[in-house]
Amino acid sequence: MKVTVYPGCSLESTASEYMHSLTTVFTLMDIEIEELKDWNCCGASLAIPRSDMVITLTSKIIRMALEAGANAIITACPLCHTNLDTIQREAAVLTDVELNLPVIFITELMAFAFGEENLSALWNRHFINPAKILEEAVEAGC
Amino acid sequence: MLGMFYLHHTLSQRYRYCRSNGRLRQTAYEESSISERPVEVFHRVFLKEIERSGRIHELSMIARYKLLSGQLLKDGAMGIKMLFKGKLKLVPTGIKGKKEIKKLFKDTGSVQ
Repeated sequence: MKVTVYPGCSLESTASEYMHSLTTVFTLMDIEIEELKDWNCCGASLAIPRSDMVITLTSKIIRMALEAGANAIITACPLCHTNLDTIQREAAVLTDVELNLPVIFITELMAFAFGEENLSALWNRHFINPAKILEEAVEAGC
Repeated sequence: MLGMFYLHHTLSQRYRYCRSNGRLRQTAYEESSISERPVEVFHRVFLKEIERSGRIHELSMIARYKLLSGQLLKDGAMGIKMLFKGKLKLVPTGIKGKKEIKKLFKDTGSVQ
């Protein structure tokens, strides 16, 4: 399973200490992270007044992640998580390309990695359910 | 390199990001075209929601935004799906210090 990390604008600038601690957490979890190359902003709160713009921006991110061979995107920003997860179906209609890439929040990944079993309710809240891809990763010994 | 570090350090210490961003946003509002009005309405509704209850309750904020922007039906299907997924809370959770928040807004300029 290949995951790509989407930091989002805040973790790159005003919350760079968050990105620093995130990198430390990944190291402690023995996860080698690969940041999505040349990522762009997800559009943040403009999802409400300018959803057209956010669909365009997020679909670009998802397509770049798919082209990089990622099976999932990991993010640590709640707004980025919501935008990337919820808008894929709408983006697929607009871009005429199937976009179906699970987006997992860092603490969700940690709960899964540390063996929490009752996560189905959590996964069902996702627009793109990551349960299957995570199960496959476990079976493959990732 | 050291010069760049010093410059960055100096700017970080002296440059008031929030105030500058606020000023830039205000300028953008003043000079905005009609097509950008939804963004302006959204930012105003966002702040008003904080002023009113101290926290953002997405459902209330979206309802108010839709009424003021006139985009009543836009993204309705998405909203319903988010509601069913449990991503939008029906009942807001307020804070105890609402009066303090209102005073903060009053002191710094209430949202129109």
